[in-house]
Amino acid sequence: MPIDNAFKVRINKALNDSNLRGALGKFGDVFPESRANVYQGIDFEELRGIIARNKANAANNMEALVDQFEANIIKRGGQVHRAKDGNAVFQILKDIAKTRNAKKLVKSKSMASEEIHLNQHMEDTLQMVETDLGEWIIQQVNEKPSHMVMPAIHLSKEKCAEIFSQALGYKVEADIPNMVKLARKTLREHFMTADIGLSGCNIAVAETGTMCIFTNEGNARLTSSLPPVHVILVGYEKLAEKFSEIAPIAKALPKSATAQTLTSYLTMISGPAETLKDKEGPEIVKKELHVIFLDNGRRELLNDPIFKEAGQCIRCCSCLNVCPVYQLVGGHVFGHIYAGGIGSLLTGFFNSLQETDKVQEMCIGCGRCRDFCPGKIDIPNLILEMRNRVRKEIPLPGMQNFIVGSVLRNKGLFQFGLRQASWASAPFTTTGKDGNKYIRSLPFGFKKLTDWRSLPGFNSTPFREKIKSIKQEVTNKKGKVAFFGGCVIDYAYPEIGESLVRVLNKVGFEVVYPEQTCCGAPASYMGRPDVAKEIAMQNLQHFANDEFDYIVSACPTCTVALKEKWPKLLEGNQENKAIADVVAEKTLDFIKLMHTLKKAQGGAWNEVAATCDVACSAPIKVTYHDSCHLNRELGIKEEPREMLVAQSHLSFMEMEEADRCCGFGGSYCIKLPEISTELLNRKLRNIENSRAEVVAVDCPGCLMSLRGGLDTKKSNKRVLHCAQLLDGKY
Amino acid sequence: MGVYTGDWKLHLPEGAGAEELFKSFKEKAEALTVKVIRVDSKTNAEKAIIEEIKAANIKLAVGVPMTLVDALSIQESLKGDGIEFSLDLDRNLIEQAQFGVSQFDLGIAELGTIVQDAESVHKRLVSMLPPTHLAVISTKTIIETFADSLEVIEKVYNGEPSNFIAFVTGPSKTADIERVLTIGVHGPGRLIIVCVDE
Repeated sequence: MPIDNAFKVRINKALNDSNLRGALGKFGDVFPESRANVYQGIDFEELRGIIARNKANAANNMEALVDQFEANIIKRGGQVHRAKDGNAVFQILKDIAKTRNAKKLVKSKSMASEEIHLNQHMEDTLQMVETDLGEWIIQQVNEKPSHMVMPAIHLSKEKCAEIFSQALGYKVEADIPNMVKLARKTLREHFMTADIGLSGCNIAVAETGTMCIFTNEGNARLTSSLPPVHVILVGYEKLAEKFSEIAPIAKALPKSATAQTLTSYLTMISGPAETLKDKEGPEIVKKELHVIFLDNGRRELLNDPIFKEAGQCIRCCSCLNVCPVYQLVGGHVFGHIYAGGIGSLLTGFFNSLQETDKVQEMCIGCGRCRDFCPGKIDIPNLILEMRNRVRKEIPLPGMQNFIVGSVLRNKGLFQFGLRQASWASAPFTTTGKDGNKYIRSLPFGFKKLTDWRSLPGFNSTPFREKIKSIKQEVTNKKGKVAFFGGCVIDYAYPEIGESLVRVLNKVGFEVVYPEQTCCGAPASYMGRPDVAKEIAMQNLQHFANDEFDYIVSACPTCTVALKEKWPKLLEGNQENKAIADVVAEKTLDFIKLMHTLKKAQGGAWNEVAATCDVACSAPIKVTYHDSCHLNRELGIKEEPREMLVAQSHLSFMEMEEADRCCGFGGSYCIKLPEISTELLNRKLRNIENSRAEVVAVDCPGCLMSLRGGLDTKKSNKRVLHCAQLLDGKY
Repeated sequence: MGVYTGDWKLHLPEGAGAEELFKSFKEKAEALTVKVIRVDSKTNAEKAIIEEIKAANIKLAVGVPMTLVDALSIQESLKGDGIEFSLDLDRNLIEQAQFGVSQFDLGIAELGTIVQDAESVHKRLVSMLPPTHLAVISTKTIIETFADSLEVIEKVYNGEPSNFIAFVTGPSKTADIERVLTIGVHGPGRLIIVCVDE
């Protein structure tokens, strides 16, 4: 079942949990800077390229590498087991416990053991003791980790003190150093008396049979040294071919995880080292070493042509640390066992599509995680692929499915619907401070759409009609540009389209508006590539015209659709794919086109702007908000800034967190307005805190969101599309 | 079986132990709260260790056999001060000790990391269980990068690394409660490194 009311209750609970919000928010704010400091002087792109290549190579040779690894461990006297799933692990562990007559197991951090609920299944056989501080704390209250590196990040020190008091049977104050001391003392007793130690593993090198374990507390060292039996649980995705491949991961993992140069301890185990007989000695014997390779969906993942990329994950969790949605709700909402975006991918394979269904819907697709991933995983686009697979098994609820499957697919019906919206919404439309039309409140069940930000009033004449009466005066004509308007400009902001026409006319291009419908993005983002493909087909022939020098869109989401999605969607049909490739090649986002044209003319950008419509005696202070699709999907970041800086009547200034998502996310803000509101409010605070009068944007979706939010807050700041700024419409 | 083919010193990259490597090693380690002491001879190394143990104001310290210093002479000297420096490697004794001394095989300049072949269980326990750990290394074994250390290991063990190799970078620490950095969880909260120029 996709996101339902029960899940919304959990979201709202998390949003109202001030401890959680405080802890995640603070960490999210400081992490990028500390991470950047520790990476100083290191070529991150080169480093992650090496890691991605090594991991992909290991995935491709997984079966041979695991055989090689096994032979090395056996040669040293260790044992290797291969477990299909959790049940197989439990059986192996029960057999080991029985043979040794073991009573207690100490465990250092292993996400794989969490994934199969190891503690719960072994309780009848062994006393299971978590020894990582965070894991031990949450074990006392039967919670799941909310973060893979910092499992108890959701708990305040006061809550931790309560948990300590309960576990130790006396009052413990909320004093962190003292609690750490008590944990040391309590767990040391367990270490000294445990029969088995179990740990996870970060890297398993086939060439040498070496397993690397990174820890800070030192619990993995004790787990692997004090008990006479050591069991290491390894996922197949941890395999590496060569010993030298440890270096790039050791370079990236601690930096990306906790902004450390290296963890306090890196333990390399290549065979059964010495241990004390019967825990105490004095006789020294060889340790009993068991390595359990856990499959549980990993082989399917690593053999999947698309999702094998997720196997490049080194579990640093920097994707969670920088995710604006994770920062709001944490891993108990945005996560199953593995948290966040990467978690939703792993969950789909290690657990089930059902279990990742709601989790994957939490991703707003801003793409920030991709910039930080040391495994170079395209997490947001893999999530879209995951959504496609989920939606094949678990369709959207009736109404949503009808809109995507029937209305969007049917050109006529879709445009009819949008036109009806203009008169249906007219009674609710008022004029805002900036002179634009807003819908500030809708009746009945639609209230949730407007009580946090106003919606734009629908325009009675869409751009597709307006263009017919625009007189284009092109002197010194250089060519012809086809304009893909997109729904938001067409029906809500036709004036952006009008500005675009005037600006392009001025630089020598005639603008034509071929027959067109939706770009297909909403269907793509809702897990219906079948519908998106049909929509792409409906548009394609009208844009495949040799007359067009360029195809331009002033909506980066549409630009991404034309430039990246259509060729992929049409991959099955050679002829259509070839046309889509040509269309993609010619397509540019408006600001990129302007930048390219003016650059070709020697970069005289300032000639573009018309004189101000209003008398401006002093330069207008303007800041820029990056659209996620333009910035991170299309890689266009500097171009709009260069254009704005070059305008003599504008004074450009950066605002804080300019490239942070505004929370619009297309259908996301209808699906999860609770999250969108929070993201928008943060953006609005940054806008208010800047000295700018005008916020320039390149995405009409962001513009809709920002204008609506500023209108609700009765702000004096205005939001304009770059096309309008270059057209001199202030 | 990983065979210890000999001295790590025989397989160091060119330039190991250079002055600027020591400088970087010291700087990186100190940034992690590690106390780095440099001495020019075996005798002075022993002296430094004795001083550190005395300054710790404790009754019981433990150590493993070492080549860079003479543990027996340290033991003898501390006896006079009423401090037991035990070389009897008993698990419960090591657990009771407040100070452990062991020798490491390599230093990594870019990280302030020390590396040890820890196949010997006693070496491990002495460096893990007591709240303070003092590591002795030869200044000459300080190399530049982590990647260099992997190459050294591959050479020393002829491609078959020892069963247990330990990399230690600063004291044991956690930030699991409210992201507050706290030193000294399961391992030693205090780390001292004595670098001997021999």
